[in-house]
Amino acid sequence: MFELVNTSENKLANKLSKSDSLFTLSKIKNDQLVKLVDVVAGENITLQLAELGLIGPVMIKMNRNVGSGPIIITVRDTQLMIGRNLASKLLVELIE
Amino acid sequence: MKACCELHTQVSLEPSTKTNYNIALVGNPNTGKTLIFNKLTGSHQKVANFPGVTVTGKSGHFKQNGVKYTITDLPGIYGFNSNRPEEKIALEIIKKKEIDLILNIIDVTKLERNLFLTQQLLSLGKNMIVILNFMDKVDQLKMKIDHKAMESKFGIPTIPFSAIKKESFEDFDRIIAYATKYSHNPIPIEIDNDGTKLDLIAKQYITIQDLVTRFVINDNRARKTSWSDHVDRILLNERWGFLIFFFVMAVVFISTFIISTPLSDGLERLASSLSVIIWDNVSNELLASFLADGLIGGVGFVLVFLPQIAIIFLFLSILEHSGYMMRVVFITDKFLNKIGISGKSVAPMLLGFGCNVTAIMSTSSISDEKERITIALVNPFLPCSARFPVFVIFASALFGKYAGIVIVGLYFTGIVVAILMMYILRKTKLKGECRDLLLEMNDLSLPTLSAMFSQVYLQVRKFVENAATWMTLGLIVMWFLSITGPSGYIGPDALNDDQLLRKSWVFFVGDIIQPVFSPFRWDSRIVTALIFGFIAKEIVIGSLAILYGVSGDLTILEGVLQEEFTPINALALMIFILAYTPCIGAYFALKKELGSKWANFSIINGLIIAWILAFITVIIGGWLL
Repeated sequence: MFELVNTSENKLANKLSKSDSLFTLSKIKNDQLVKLVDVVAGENITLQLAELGLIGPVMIKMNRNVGSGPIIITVRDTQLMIGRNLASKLLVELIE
Repeated sequence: MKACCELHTQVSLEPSTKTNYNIALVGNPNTGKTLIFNKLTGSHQKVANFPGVTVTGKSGHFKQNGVKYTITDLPGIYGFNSNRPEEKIALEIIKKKEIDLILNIIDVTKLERNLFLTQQLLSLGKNMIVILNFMDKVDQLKMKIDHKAMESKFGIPTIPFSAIKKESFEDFDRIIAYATKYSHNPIPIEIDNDGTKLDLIAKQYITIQDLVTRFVINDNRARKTSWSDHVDRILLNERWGFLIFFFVMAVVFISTFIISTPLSDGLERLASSLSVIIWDNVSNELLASFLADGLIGGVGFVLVFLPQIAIIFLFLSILEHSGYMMRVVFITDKFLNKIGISGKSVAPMLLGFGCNVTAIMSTSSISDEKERITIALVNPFLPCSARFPVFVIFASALFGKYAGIVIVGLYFTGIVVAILMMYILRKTKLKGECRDLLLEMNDLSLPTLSAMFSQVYLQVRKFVENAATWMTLGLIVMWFLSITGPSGYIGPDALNDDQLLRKSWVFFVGDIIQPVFSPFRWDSRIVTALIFGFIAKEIVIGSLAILYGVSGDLTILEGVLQEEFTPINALALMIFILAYTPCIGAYFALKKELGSKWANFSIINGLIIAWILAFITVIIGGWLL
């Protein structure tokens, strides 16, 4: 019997379980500084994020996260609005 | 020519001798490209302050010393790596068209991200110059940009610039003409491109980070808290945000109604006096009727509503240019996700209140095919500015002091129908996952007068052009059909005599279809006006003005409407007008964006929903009264 597995979600869960300092971007509180570790999303949206500067160990500041709806961050001097679903696919590490 | 003479770049020795050059304006969204384009070409293209609103290239030209420079303003892009529709269009134009010069506009306050595109453009090996826009902001931050270091690194002219300052444009066209004639050889940034696309982007950003530390002196880039952040705390508040949005929209429509009424009244008095002058001075009855009833009574009557349309566009322009539209995306995203739509789609929807054609065209920036079709299909249910005057006339005539409430109710109905349609389409035929929201968010800013008025000017010009062309033609046909009939010529008296008008083609055509509308008790005149309304909604009013022979007099028309309609069947008519195809332009826009199948579906769907809603109105109205 075959089991359908969502590989992206599995990958994300695996990474999160291995380290206590890793979080998804959607869990980060206002004004916290984080470093981007990985993006676990489809190829196209990952490329779009990369073009906007969300690639590599880049610093991210959380400007607005109220626990539901989109979030607003600052990355490479630019403010970006990111949907909650997408934000939960960005793996980050706390800096402070 | 100062900037060019100081260049530390390698210039071709032999100047080009062409008499026609093509220049492409390329840059990230919101870097001031369209403003520069408008200044150079003397155009009034719409400046968008919402990524993805401009999705096609726009062309204009300027001449210098007998040489023509054609400039194409490309949609804002971040690079050429993803499959965004605007990236494909931009790359296609740059690569295929014979581009003699790439004008890369950069926002110096966001240097890292902007240079990411620059280094991709450099690798194309085309003649190019870089314009460092927003230098005024850099000065405010007490930073310095070493543009000569950039010139040396890239091998092309790099010009400090402030698009908001007049002096920046002194000699600018000559600099561009010079750079076009003497091509420069860009030096591509060498990056080892082993690995995946993502590996390459990562390496490119690392290289750029390093370059920026060399280009920026007294680096003070860290984003500061601004007044915009303080205002955002209220606008984006999870409790207040939605309420503020509804309040803002209500203010927009109510203010439009209040401000435009005296202006429209003035124009209406003018049209009415012109009619009187024509009747008094033109002895030929047929010619007098053509001028007074057909042209002034019809087209002139449509132009009376120019102030309303201009004011709606002015408000929409303020919402867009101030950055508020992006805030609306933020507050509506969560709700729209529940019906399978991304918050980003709110921009085409808001634009629909101005013009459905523009709004439908702007959906081409939506990369998800099913979501794009959904957004374009429901757009006609959002009442455009052309339907506003129709609502105003009927509501003022039949509902008196409650007119404002009735109009707001109609807008609300349109929005609810659009939301329900979106929900149904996304759960059935166009089922799919909601696309991810990813949007650059600019600070709130005071919109510039030139950007606002350019937008209003464009729309007003479009409206007047429409009125002068197919609307005039439509209304002349309508006038002709009302003074002739199956039995032959009837004469202009038909417009003042009901019995004569019943012998005209208007009633002949209307009578055939009228039974379909019998539950609403609209006579054949109304039915024919609705048929002509397919051309544009303003025509409904112009047609009724002709058919009731009011010669441009609004008071007489209101009086006639009070006699012919009850509040219920007038409300049913307004709801019908709200829901069926806005205009022939919207049909062609849908056909271009989605193909004939969906465009035809939109017409049939709109007619069915319009009939059902009008029927529900009559039934509920019958119970209540």
